[in-house]
Amino acid sequence: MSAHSQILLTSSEGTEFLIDRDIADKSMLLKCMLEDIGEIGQAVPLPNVSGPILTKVIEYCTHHRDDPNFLSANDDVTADIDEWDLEYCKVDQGTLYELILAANYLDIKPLMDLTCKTVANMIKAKSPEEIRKTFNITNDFTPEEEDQVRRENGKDWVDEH
Amino acid sequence: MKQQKPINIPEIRTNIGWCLDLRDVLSCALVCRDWAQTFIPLLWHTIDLSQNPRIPLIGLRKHACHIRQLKYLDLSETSEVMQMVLASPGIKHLHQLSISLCDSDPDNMYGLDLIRRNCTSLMFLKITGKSFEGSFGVIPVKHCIPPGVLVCPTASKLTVLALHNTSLTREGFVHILRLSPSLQSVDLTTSNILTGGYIDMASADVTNSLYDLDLGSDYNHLLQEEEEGVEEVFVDDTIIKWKPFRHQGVTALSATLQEIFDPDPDVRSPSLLRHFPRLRDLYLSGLNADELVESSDVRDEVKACCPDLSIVGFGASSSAAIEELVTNAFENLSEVYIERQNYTAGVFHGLLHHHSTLHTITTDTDPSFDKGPPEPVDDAFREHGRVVQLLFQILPLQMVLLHEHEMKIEWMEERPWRDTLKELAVRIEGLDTEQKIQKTLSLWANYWFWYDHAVRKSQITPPVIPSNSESPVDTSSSAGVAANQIVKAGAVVKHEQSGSVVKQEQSGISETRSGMTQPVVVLPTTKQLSFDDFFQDDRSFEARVARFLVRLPNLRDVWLGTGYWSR
Repeated sequence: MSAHSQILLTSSEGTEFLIDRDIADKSMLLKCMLEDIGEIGQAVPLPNVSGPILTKVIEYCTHHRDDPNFLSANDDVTADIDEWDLEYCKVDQGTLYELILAANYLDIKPLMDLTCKTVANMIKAKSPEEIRKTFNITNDFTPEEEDQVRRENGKDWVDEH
Repeated sequence: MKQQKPINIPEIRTNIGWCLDLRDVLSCALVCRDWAQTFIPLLWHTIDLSQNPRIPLIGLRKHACHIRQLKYLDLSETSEVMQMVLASPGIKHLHQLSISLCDSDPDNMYGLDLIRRNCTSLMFLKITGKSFEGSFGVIPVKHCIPPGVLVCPTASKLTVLALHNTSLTREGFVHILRLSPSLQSVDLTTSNILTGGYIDMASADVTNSLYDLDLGSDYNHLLQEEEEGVEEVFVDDTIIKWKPFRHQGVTALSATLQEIFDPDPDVRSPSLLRHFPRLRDLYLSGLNADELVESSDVRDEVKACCPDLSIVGFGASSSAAIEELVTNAFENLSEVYIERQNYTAGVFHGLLHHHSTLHTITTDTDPSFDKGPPEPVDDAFREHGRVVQLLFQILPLQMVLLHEHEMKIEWMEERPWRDTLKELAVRIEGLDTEQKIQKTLSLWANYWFWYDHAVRKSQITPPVIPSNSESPVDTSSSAGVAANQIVKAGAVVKHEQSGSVVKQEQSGISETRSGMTQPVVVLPTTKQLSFDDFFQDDRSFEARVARFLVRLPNLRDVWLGTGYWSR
């Protein structure tokens, strides 16, 4: 297998993307597929990923192309996000959601961790009501149920300092 | 396909939940019914009893099934939380459990029952028996753990097992190994593996069977090796055929030397190494030169049983014992872990025996120790520290972490170090403030920035830096090699003349010597084009150290007293 070979991907609207094999290998989905069936010489269709999002995903994989521990990195979910990644995630909520779905579908764990961390930052220090507002969620608890969840799951698990 | 909001997919929501602290997770659980399903299990996932968690006891019974990790369960505590946890039959999906037994047998039974209930899901299990006077002594037989509770007959996922201050029978231990195919790491420090019958504490006749075992000390075991791993053991003049079970997955073992080679202090029995043909990593503690197992015995047994053994650590041990073992027992080690108090000339000399294999020498340090300015080390070893230089000159070292060792730059410069080194953590005498250390390392990092930049711009493969021939005292470097390098550098330079950008950026950093007028980028490959150019005018001590460091072409991470620097 040549290390410099290239792979053709097709986004949901039919746009073709030619990328290097080592970039494609960042996605476990593509990596496994290419290992299983070899290089077929045809474009790989990605019906779940739109062109702009695929561009964004490729941008991420290209930036992290030489990370030695791409797959083992970010085990510590509380670690801070680095500057480039932080800038990368400054997108509207819709794009962020699509990135999560693409990372999930293409199975790119570091991108998944990064985007989830970004969503988590939107939740931090908010009240349940504020979270509902942020994500446009309707509260379907009865007041009794809500109170029960609160009682059964405690207010503070760990002593405050 | 309708694009779904990822926040509505439970797996993704769980992923997000891992990035939040408990307070935020609770807020999420209160958002709506759907979210509660995701976030309540996260709240209960880990209970660390050493942190005094205020567990909402009212919810414990209902949510016990979500608990996956239970840490520091001490049965001698009688708190309400402890009682409730022990009495929760819902805790039966644990992945990780660390538990300390106590004096009271009924309480211990609760604990053992908890282990039994979780034995199909447990991956990490640590059991600590009651501690006794003299922690490396013999464990009374009555603290034997019945092996049946530790592993389930089918599908054990156990990968890490630690038993402290306890004992097991040999048969029981083998039983655990046999039923735990995923096991990778076994820690038996301060535990004994006793010869003798299978003990089942659940049987009515507990006391009798325990006494029976004690009589086992009269047996005289002699061993003879036979082909195919079958050994004959003499017990009361009867020959017993014994084929030790060999576990193919365990790669790491921690114990004292006695516990491994003489597992039952009263009865001679074969070493535990016989069970671990794939062992790579051995951590020995409590070594004492006076009661050391013969190092020739250790060597023969390791050779025969564990041919892959290459990583050895020593904890709470005497230097004389370590010296003896690294010199005469272990061969071809690749990694060694020693503690600060074992930095002696003898130990380091012993390590030289592993001259073709040893690539890592480390000492663990308290992570908090690297906060703020460097603290002076009380290095009693400093006066004899020159011997450490031999390690760097002879061994193919890649990683050396001796945070509490201080070197003298004069010693370092005496003879060149091997160029294999990738990561280094030591102190250097004279670099005693944060500013000095930072200045040194920023010179070092700037040099490589400059170098990498030059290489990248000139689009060439980086030449190998002949660090060994660059030492100031080493004047024997062959003229032939140098000439060859000049040719190479010449080619580089020619290529570089087209790169105008580089010239601008690099001017001011480096001035070339006579004859090299145009090209400004100087690749440090020869004596003529030395990296000394980079620090040319800097006669400071910091530059002297940095000059030494840049001669190590593979060195990427450095710590000299405070803060890691990478290039």
